[in-house]
Amino acid sequence: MMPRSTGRLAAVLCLSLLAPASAFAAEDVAPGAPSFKEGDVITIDKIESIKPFLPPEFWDNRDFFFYEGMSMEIGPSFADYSPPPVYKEATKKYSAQAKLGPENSLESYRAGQPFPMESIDCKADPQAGAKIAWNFVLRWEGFGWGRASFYYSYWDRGEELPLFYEGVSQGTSLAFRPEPQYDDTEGDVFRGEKRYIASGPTVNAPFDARGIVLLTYRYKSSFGPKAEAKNDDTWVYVPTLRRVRRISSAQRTDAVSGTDFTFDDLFSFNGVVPQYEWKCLGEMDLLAPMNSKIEGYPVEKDRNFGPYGLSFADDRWELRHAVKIRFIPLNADHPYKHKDIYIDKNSMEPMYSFAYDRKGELWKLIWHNHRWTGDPAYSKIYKGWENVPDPRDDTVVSDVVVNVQTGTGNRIEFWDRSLEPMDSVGKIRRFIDVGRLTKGR
Amino acid sequence: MFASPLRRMTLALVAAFAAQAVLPAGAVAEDVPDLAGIYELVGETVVEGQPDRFAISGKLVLRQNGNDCTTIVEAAMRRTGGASGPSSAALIGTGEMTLTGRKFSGKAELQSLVSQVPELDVAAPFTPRSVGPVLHSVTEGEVLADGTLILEVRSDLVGEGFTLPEGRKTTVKATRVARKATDLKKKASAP
Repeated sequence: MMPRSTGRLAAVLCLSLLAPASAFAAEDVAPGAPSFKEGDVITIDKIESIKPFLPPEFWDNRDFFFYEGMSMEIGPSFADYSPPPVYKEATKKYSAQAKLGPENSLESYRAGQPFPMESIDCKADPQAGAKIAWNFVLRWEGFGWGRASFYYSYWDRGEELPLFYEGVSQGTSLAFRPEPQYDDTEGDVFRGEKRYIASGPTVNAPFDARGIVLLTYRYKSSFGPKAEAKNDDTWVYVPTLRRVRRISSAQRTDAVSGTDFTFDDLFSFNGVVPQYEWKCLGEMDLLAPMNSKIEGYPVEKDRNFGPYGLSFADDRWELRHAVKIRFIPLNADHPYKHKDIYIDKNSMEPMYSFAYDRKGELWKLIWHNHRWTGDPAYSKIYKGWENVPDPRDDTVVSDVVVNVQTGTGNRIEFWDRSLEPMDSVGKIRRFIDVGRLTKGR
Repeated sequence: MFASPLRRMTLALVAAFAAQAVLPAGAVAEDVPDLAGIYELVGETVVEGQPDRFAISGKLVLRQNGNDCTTIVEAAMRRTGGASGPSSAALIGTGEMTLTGRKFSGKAELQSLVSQVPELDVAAPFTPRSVGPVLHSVTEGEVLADGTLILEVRSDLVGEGFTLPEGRKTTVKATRVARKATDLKKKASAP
């Protein structure tokens, strides 16, 4: 493998003290009628009954997730977690103009779901994978992260390591807004906006990391082919340096010891669609934790995550229609040979994903828990806004990654995540201002 | 320029922990040690005549088929002495290894990764990291009586633009901690 920028690296190394120099088959699954029903409780002795409704890759690694004493409540099947009218109307209004361009780029997108799911034929359409990937990236997710408290923990074969990060994550959408108040600006929050999203966390603990603040811009041009795409910009404020560092990153896909998530593993895929080849592998019905009944951090800090600290088995699970897509990285530096992602067709939320190493062995398993805004407790946290009285969002509130080769993993919890947008333009301006990172420090 | 300091990684520090080797003609594996499992790595890279020292920690997954093994390495290197380059880097990769009695040798390909903010640890979440050069490493070592692996590692960089300092030495001790990834760590029993 060659370094991505040999020349630049060489130049830099000259400054160092140390010796400077110079094709898939579709695989629809039809397991038959389930033997369980809403209200049933699945314990470890009944776990075989749900096998037909789990991804085979998940079942093969079930020892991490299912355990003596677990109590899985079966919730309603195929509940309606579809997005609110404002998103559906935008899909009707604008989807006809959206189209795939060169290198799986997206052209003429305005708002809503770019390619209506009901019109995609997974088996017959060779572009189905890329279309679904765009629908996933542009799924309904509100338009901000007003406040999500996060707790990031590290696990090694059931032991929580003495390392954690705690803080607050925020963000805001700057484009592709479907609400009528943005009609005059073609969906931009600020007229002529080049950015798509701005987001970033603030670390509050541990003490030696307190005050680290990040701000990332992702640009609209990232929807385009590689030659036209502007890389993400990230600014990081490091308190011990009392300065802000600027980073421009083409992709954030590296895996590191101690952190099993790559930056783009969050929500199963948090990357740039044109950097991958996409395939649609099939459709199936799957069980997954789609509407948690037990809160976690920051409300409930002693929630049971099983003996490995990486399980949502002790919760409510629901049967869902799912679609499976695969990405194959175009960049030879990418640590994955491919990743398979299972997506809920109704909400387009991630359910499971499976990343394979360069030798084609399963490396990392990623899965998620969710909360539905229709639940009264969650609706008090995640509220509606102008022209969106009911946010109708089935939101990821926890990501778990398991490295099935080493037995290590990470869990990120943010059970109070609200995606309602910031309630004033002034707040958005302050949030996206890089100068904010050093203020008050 | 921001990119510069992070690229100043002392690549010498980088090591590998596995390899493919040629079984010497006539060698017979009569008593093949059972090595399969997950190992914790502890080691150090030093450079003769330089103040730089880097502690190595991480995981080695070893799968065995007789004298032939495949390896997976996920390790981190953190500065414990000196001042050049970023404070930490990560290495991930795979390799192969062959046993000859209680001696082994092999090679691996390792991808290096560094935090784009050199002062932040590679394990810090949310901080972008960049892909560094790839290292081809050759390892020789032995299996101690208690099953511990002692490895000496030599590394070369792939591609133009890098060299490694002379006089570098990487030694790593690998202690088996589990047979498989789902083996729970033993919890301390209640008093």
